[in-house]
Amino acid sequence: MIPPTQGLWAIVLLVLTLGAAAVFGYRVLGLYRLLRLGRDEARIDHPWRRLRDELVVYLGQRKLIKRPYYIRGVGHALIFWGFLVITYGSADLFLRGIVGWQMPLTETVAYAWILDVFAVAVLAAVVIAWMRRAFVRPPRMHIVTEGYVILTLIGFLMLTLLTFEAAWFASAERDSLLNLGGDLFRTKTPAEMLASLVPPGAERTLFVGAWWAHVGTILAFAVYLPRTKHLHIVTTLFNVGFRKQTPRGALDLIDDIENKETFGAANIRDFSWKQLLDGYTCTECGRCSDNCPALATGKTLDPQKIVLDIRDQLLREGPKLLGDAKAETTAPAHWVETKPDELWACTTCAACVEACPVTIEHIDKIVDMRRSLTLMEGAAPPEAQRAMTNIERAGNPWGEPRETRGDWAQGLEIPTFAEKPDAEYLYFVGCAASYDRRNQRVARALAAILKSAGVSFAILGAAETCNGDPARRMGNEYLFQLQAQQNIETLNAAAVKKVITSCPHCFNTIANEYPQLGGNYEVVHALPLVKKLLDEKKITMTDGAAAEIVAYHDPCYLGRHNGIYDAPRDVLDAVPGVTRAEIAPHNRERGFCCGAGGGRMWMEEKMGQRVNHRRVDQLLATKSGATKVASGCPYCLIMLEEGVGAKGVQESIKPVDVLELVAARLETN
Amino acid sequence: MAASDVKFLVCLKQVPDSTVRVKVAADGKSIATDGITWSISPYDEYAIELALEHKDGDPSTTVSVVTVGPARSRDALRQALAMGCDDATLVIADDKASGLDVAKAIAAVVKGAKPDLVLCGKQASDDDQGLVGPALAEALGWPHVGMLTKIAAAGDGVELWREIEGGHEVWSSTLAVVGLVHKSAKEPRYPSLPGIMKAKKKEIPEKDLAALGVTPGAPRAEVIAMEPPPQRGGGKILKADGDVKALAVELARLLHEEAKVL
Repeated sequence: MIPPTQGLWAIVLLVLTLGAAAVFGYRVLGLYRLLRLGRDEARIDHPWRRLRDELVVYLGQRKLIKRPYYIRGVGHALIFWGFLVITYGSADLFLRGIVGWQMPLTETVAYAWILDVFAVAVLAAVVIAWMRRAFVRPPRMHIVTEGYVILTLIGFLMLTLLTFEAAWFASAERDSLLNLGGDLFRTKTPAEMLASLVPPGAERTLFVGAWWAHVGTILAFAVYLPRTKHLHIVTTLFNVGFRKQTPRGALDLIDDIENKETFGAANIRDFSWKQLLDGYTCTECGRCSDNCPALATGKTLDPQKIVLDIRDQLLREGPKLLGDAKAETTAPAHWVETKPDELWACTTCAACVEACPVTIEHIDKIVDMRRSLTLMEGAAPPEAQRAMTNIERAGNPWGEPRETRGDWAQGLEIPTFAEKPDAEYLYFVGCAASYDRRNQRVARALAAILKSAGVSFAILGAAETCNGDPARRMGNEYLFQLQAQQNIETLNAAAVKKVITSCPHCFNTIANEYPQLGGNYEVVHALPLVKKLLDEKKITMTDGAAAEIVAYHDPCYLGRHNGIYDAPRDVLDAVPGVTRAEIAPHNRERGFCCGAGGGRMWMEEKMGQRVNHRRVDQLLATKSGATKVASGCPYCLIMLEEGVGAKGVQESIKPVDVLELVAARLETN
Repeated sequence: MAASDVKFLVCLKQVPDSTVRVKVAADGKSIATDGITWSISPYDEYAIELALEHKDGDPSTTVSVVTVGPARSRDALRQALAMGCDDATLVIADDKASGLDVAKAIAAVVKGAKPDLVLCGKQASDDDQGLVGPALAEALGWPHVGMLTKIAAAGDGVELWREIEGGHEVWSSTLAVVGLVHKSAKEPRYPSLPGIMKAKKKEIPEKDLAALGVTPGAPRAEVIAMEPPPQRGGGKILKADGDVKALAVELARLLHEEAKVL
C-alpha cells in the first residue's frame, strides 16, 4: 500500500504527528508530576512475578475474564487484542507515511487477515458496548459521555481503516500481498471482499479521504486520551507491573512509628504514587462496587467512589500543590465526597480487590485513611475505641480478663508452652476461641483432633494476647505494633517455630504481617493442617452419624486473602456422611463477607441491612437442603449464628466450624 | 463562664482496670496487685472528657490533672496528657492514704494552681467511697455539685447539669466550684498517636504530702478482711414433658425451698 503522502503531504503528516505527540507528552508529563506528589514506595521486588503479571493480567486479560463477567470479559479482550494488532498497523501507517519505512510483515496476507478480523471484531464489540451503555445500563457502572466519545472514536477508527483498505484493493494501484500464511488464507481478506462495494471512479478519493480520516483520528485520540479514563490502556501496563507482590492480606507497616509525626493518609500527598496511579487507571467499570458487601447492604461505602474521589481530588488540588511543598490540602475523610462513614463501613473483605481487572488496591487506601482518623484525630467510632482500649488493657477486644484467657482449656490436659517447652506446634488460640463460649467449642474440637492425630502442641494460656488484627484494620497501627511485638517476644522466648491457628485473622496476621516486625514462623491454619493429617491417615473418623448436607461459607481471610479455598472443602468432603453444598454464586473467590472483618465485629451496623443477614439470605436462596453451614473462622461463626437467629432459621440450619464436624466423628480409642 | 482562659483542674485516681479479675492478696485485707493493669477510674475519665470538650470549644482553656497516689499513678497522668490535658501534677502518697488526706493534698495543689473549676469523678471505681470530691470542696470552702453530665458557660459563671431521676437539674454557679462528674455526653476520647508521643516527653512534676503541708492523720477506717464474692452456682433447667402444671408446681417449690425467693 502506498500512503497518500507524496511530497509536501509527508511534511504535513510529520508536523501533525509531532504536534499531537507534543500535546500527548505535555499532558502525560502533567499527570506524572501530579503522581510524584505522592509519597515514595518501592514496587520493584519480585521482578519475575511482575513480568508474569504483565503477560497474564495485562496481555492475557486474566482479571477481566472471570465470574460473572465471562462474556463482557471476552468482549473487552477482543477489543484489547485487536488494539494491539491495529496499533502495529498504525505504527506502519505513520512510519511509511512520513519516512517510507515499513513495519515487518505488514504486507502479507496473514497480517492483512488478522488485522481485518480484529477490525471487524472490534467494530462489533464497540457497537455492543455502545448499546449496552445506552440501553442496558449496567448497575453502578459510571455512564459518562466520555465513554460514548471513546467508543465512537474507536468505531470510527475501524470504519475508516476498513474503508481505505477496501478502496485500495478496488484501486488500480493495488499491489499484491506477500502470500505468507500459504493456503491458510486462500480467500480474500474482509477488506478485499468489501472492495466491490467501492463505487467505480471514487476509489482514489475514498482511499485518500479515509486514510487521512483514520490517521487524523489516531492523532486526535492521542491528544484526548490523557484526559480520559481511557488512559487505562497505558496506565494499566504500569499499574499491573507495579502491583503489590506482598501477600494480599498484609497491610503496609508504618516503619519507625515512634519517631514519625504524621500517620496515614491525611491528604493527597500521603498516598503513595502507586495509590495515585490506581486513580489514573480506574476504568469506572464498577466491578468493585458490584461485589462490595457494604454497598450491597445499603452502606454509603462504594469502593469505586473511594478510588475516584482520590483521583478527582488529585486533579482538583494537585496543580496548586506542585511547586509549593507547604500548600495545605483537604484531608480525605473531609473531602466533600468521602466521609468517615464510608471508610468505617469497610470489612476489608477484598471482594473489590479481587474483582478489579486492573489490579487497583482499595483496602490499603481505606486503611490509610482510617489510620489518619484514628491515629491523628482519635476519631474512630466510639465502639471501635472501646475495642481498642480493651485490647490495650486486657489484650482482647471484648475486655475479658487477661488472666482467664486460657480457662477454656481447663480440664482438657492441654499443656502451656511453659509446661511443654519442646512442643512442635504452638496453637495460637486467638481472642474469639479463648473467650467466646461458642468458639471455645471450636478450640476444644481442634485440641481433640490434634490429640487424636498425635500432634505435639501447646498453648500460651494467659501469656497470649490479641494478635492485633482488629487494631490494625481500625487504623490503629501503633496498637497493632505493640500487640505484635509483645506476641513476637513471647513466641521467640518460647523458641516457637510452628504455629497453628483456628482463626484466619490470626493466621493472616502472624503469617503475613509478623515478618514485617521480625516474627518469622511457619504458620498453618487448622483446616489445611487437618487436610494434611487426613492425607497422612493420622485422623480416622467413624461414619456412624446420620447423613447431612453442609454448606461451606468461605471466610475472606482464608479465601480471597490467602487463597485457601480447597483445603476446607477437602476436609468437609472427607467427613463421613457429609455432602457439601456451595453457596453459589457467592462462593470461593466471590464469597460474600460475614460482615465482621476489618474490625467491624466490634462496630455497630446501623445503616441498611446487616451484612450477615444478607449472607444468610444468600445461603437460604440456594435451597440446597443444607442443615448446617460450616466455615473456618470464629468471626464468621459468630455472625452466622446471629444471622440465622435473626432470620428465625436457627432450628433448620446450624452454623458450625468444619473442625467441629471432624471432632464429632473422631474415633475414640 | 469567664469568656476565655478558663482553668480546669481534674482530679483523678488510678485504679485496677475494669477488665481485671481482682483477687484478694495473701494478707486477706487488700487486693493482689501483681501484674494487673491499672487505668484511670472511669468517672474521672468522664471528668477529663467534659473538661476537654470545653477546651475543644474554646482553645484558650487549660486543663490540668492531678493525682495523689504511688509512683505508678504517673501512667494514669500520662494517659490524661495523651488525651489532650495540658499539664499534670503527681503527689506521691501511700496507696492506703485516707480520702481525707488526699482531699487535703489536692486542696493544697488547688491553692497553688488557682483553677477556676475543679472536677472529680463522682467516685473511684475501686473503693466507691465518693469521699474525696466533697471533702475537697469542704477543705477549700467551695460549693460542690454532684452527678454532673454537662457544663455550659453562662455569664460570669457556669451552668451545671446534673442527672436526676428521669431528667436533669440545671444549677447556676459562680466559679470556684467543685463538680463531681457522673458521665460525659461522648465517650472519653481515644488519644491520638501524636498526643501519646507528646505525653511521653512531658515533664510531670512530683510533690510529696509534706511539701504540700499535709501530715497524714491517723487512719479513721481500717480494712479488717476482704473476701471474694461467693461463686455463683449453676442454673437449673426444668424440662417440660407436656405436663405444664406439674412443672409450675415444681418451679414454685424450687423457688420457695431452694432459692428461698418466694
